Amino acid sequence: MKPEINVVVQRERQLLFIALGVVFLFGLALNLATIVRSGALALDRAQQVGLGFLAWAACLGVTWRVARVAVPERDPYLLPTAFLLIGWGLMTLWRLSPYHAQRQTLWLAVSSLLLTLILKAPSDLVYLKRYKYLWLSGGLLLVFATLIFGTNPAGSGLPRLWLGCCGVYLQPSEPMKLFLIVYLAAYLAGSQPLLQKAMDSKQLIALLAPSGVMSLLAMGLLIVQQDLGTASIFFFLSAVLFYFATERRSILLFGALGIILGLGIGYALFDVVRWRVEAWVNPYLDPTHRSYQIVQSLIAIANGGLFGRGLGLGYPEQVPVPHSDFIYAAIMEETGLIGSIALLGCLALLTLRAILTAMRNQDRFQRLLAIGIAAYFGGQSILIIGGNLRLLPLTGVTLPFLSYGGSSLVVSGIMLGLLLQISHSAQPQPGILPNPKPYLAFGALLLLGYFSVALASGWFALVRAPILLARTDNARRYIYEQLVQRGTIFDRELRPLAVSEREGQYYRRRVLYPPLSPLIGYSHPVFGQSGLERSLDVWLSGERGYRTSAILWQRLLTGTPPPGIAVRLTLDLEFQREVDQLLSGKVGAAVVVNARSGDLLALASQPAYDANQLSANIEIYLKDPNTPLLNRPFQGRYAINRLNSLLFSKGIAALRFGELRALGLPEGLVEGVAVQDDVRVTPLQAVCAAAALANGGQRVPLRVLDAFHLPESGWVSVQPESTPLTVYRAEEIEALLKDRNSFEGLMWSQTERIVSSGELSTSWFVGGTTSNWRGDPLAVVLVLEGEDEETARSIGGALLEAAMLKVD
Amino acid sequence: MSALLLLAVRVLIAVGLYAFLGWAFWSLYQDLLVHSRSLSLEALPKLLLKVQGEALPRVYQQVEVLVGRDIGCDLRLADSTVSGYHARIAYRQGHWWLEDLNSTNGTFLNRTRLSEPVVLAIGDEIRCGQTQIFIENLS
Repeated sequence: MKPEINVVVQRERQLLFIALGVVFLFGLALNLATIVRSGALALDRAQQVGLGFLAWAACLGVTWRVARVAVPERDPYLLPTAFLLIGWGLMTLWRLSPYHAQRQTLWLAVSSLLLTLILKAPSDLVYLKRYKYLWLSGGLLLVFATLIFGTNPAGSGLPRLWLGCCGVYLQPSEPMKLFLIVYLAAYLAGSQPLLQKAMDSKQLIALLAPSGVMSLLAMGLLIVQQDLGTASIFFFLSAVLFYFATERRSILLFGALGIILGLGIGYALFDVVRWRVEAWVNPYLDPTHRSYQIVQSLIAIANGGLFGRGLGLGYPEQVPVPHSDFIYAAIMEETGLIGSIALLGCLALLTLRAILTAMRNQDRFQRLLAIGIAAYFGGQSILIIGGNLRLLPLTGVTLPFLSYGGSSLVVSGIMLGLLLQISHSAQPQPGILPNPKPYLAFGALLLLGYFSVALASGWFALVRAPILLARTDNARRYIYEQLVQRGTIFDRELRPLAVSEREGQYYRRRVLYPPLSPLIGYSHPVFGQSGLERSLDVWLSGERGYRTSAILWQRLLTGTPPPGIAVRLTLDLEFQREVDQLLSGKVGAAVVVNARSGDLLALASQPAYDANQLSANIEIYLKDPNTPLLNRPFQGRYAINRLNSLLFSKGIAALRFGELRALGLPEGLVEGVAVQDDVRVTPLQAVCAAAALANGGQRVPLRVLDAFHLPESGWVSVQPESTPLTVYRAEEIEALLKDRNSFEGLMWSQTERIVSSGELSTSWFVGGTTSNWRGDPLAVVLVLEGEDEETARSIGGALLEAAMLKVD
Repeated sequence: MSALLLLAVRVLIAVGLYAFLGWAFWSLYQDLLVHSRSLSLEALPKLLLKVQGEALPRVYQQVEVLVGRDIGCDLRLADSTVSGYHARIAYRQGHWWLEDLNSTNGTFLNRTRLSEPVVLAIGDEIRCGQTQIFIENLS
């Protein structure tokens, strides 16, 4: 039973007022977001958004007034839901691209005009039914015209699916969807009694053939243009209408087979289909090229999470074409799962009301027309949202009412008008529906579709989010670095080594002492991360170090993490300068360690690149035979030959990289170099052994990270996980160092030049203090490439003396 | 400050969106209640049918009365000129409707053969095959 007319009007009015309020709040939030982002209100933008809102409200008001007079017995849910979606889409467009939002507002005016014309036209819709072939052939002609006169407003070289000039474009495949529905509904309604009495499939095929040929013709035109998304929508619409007209389940079976067959043929024939299918099956194989869009869409959805980053506070522009194909990803990033489920709820409401409208009407043509419109709204929404979510292969169709696209909005508006008409002419009491099964099955199918995309949204926004957000192609990480101060890296005396400085609106990272670049590394949007910037990233970027609630609150408020945590290294900048001075002009590495505390005092890698000049000089660095990008103390592998007996005479030989990590060095610094043989070691491994000799046989964990500066407790020292281990007995040390003492017995050293075929020679200097030395025990390792033993001895000796002066 | 304000607006938007959906679904549920009440048995009037040759009228209080020879029919007629499922009398939109179920010999109302469903009134005479049925009461 349909409720009383005044109840309908009242209900519709209430819903319209809620929609009005919500869209107004969307506009308000957009303007607040510009204040949060840049500290000031952009007045011209606020004015534009305000006018845009008023234009939308005016279109709504006019449409509503006309509807009250022309179709007083309409369904009360259609108009508010559709206009809420339109308003939501418009506000999203104002946020993404004011240019497109302005155009969409104009298209909305056109759309509303046509909607009101439909409402005022005769409610029996005979003009559609009678001229069905005229509508169909007109639509086909327009689509055909794109083959000859087609253009693309976004530029040449792209699919030419539009007609138009002077800045106004029409995509004929959009009205073609409407014409196809009208034609099929009219044709099938005319032959429905025959269809349902048809005894065998031969008869059935003969009856369906004319309309089938027309559908295939429309699909064929689009396949030639490689607009396969629209072609699949045509197929879906035809299958649904055939099913409703014949009420035979075998149609559905043939439809499903047809889709599989079409996908197979498309895969074999068209590169586009192959790419899309491959990007759907495994997007992570080619995330920078063919599946770039879908991976970026998933990252945007993951960034939205449950609550969303906030309207205007996300980065949906990182996804290509966010205003059209990927508007769902853009909405999800900023309103989160909460917003997207509301969106899906609205779409589901609209679709179900359309099906109900069809059920309530008595006229066969109007019934099929309403079903076709429901199939269009539901099928296309699920297709594109599923594409955004990697649930279905990506197709370039619009999200009805929300996506940018004049043709799509106008056609959706007309369809809304037709639905209102059909719901108005329904009987006051539900009519006879001999077989409600197709309606129930179709409603259940679309609901299942919405449910699946909601589940997939939750999966990517909540479950997969941590993995997706940690990807290096998530550009948001680098954007946050520009908006939020990254943690400073200090030396042991709190002299800054790397800082983020404010330049205008954004922060810029600078390494203040560039020769340390190989150790400190970089965090770069193109080249990724390396060194300490990579291994300490969670601290430096403020993802760790605060209470979890504080981080969540900050992200909820501004969409960004809190300021980064500062870290203190064990290095001594002054001493580091001396070491680099001694090594200047050479190629090699030097490591100086306090053998008692394990503190690394200097870590030199020569020649060093300059992290501040990475973008400009990356080609030079990559081509340089001296490999300045290599962090030699950590990653340089050098043969040791005879030194083996000194450094690795006993169980210490097992000091491999896995163990180095356990020594308390930040994770990531020693990763990526798999060294298994014991005759090639890094300077860091060597200094670890040398330090044990200098420290009376006790090997202590090496430290490069000294402390974090936590917001609540100040500097907190970092303790290595492993404990000291005695690896040499006193008499072993005496035997090993017997012939190697010098400088009044205070220090020992060993040099060696190693020449292996096909490689540059390397000269080692390994030294340390003896038990006669009163200060902190020290160990030094120096490796020089292409230098003789004498040079290594003099530089190494000078290094050790400088270190002894430093700690004395 | 503006960030807090924005958060408040965002919360309001979420509340508004769900208020919209909630209100829509609540009112739909109300519709459903009204609908089900109007269709419930309490509101359903009694249908009194007197079959030719029977002494007492039969009383039905159900939405649909199937007439035919088949065992599944509500009103079974032992008449070889009546089809298995011959006709249907159904209560819809406040009226009792008579509808022919594609029977071999047709259903007649007051001697007119049915081609589409018609509304019944007291005193109507239905004929299925050779059997006559009189509407005694349908208030």
